Amino acid sequence: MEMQDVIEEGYVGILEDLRKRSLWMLHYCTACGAIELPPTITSRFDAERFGIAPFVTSRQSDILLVTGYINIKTLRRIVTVYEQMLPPKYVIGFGSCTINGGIYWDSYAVVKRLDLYLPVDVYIAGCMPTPMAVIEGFRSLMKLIDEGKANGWKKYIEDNAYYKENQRKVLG
Amino acid sequence: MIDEVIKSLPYEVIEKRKQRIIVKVEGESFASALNALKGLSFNRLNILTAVDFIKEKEFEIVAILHSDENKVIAIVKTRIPRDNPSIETITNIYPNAYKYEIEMSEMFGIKVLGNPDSGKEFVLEDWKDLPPLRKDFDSIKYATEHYESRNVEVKYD
Ligand code: SF4
Repeated sequence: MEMQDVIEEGYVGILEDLRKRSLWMLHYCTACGAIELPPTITSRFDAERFGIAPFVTSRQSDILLVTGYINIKTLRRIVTVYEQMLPPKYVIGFGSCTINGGIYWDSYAVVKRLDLYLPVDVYIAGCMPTPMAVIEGFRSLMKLIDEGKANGWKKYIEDNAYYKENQRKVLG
Repeated sequence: MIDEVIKSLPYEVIEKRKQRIIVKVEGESFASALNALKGLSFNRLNILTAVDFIKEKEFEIVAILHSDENKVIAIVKTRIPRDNPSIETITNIYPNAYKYEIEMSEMFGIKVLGNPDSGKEFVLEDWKDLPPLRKDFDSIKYATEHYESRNVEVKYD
């Protein structure tokens, strides 16, 4: 192995490690679960000790946190926001509404599964998940990044046709 | 205060409490009743909405007014037939009724005459079914047809 390659490999390794340690999240607060975020990111649970901080623009964020039920109107915006983000990017589905519709399973407006439309890396179950569960979700995302398994954004590029077709089905 | 209001109203007052009156009017005199009540210090429109009485084949239009001066709520109700429903706009009396009227026309399919945006898209995007807050709209059927669910068996132990 040449010197150049060794340096590059080490460089990439360090980058990955740093990436894991500074996750900025775009909290797309669609629903009630968003109320658990203030205690998560402020002094009591203090998510910033894991390097997780809320951020305001999609271009500079790493995590898209979808908190709660998604209806047609918000899905359109979520997809736009997700496509604006720069890779590597991760999606966390927050609350049981993103998993199977939750208590809105029979609603005329709520889509029931987030993973049909966006590649979800981690789901946090609960209605609503406590700050401890949220931090646990972040930690498992960090573990996945460490193991190189958080490849949702690559999947979105590879299976783009699949996601686009699902999106078209509900958005028209 | 309430007694004065009731005395000067030419409409049927079906309930009277210390801080609340419920007024029932005929469909055509809805706007004029609101106008009269506005003159009697009911300066604020809290909400304008509809209720679907499917068995009686009628919609009930409800407006809740509030008087800041006397701290009294007035609920004005009227019934309109369920097929081809339409009401007159009340934006000339209470301008904030504008959005309520658009929402009502979207969610119940009630045409609001005189409101230029009645019938236009408001919160629903590309809606092609019955208006969703009508009682004959089957929400569960719509949801199962349009949105895929996660078919997992739930086991309780
Ligand atoms: S999972 Fe519960 S808390 Fe979260 S959006 Fe759904 S109903 Fe609200």
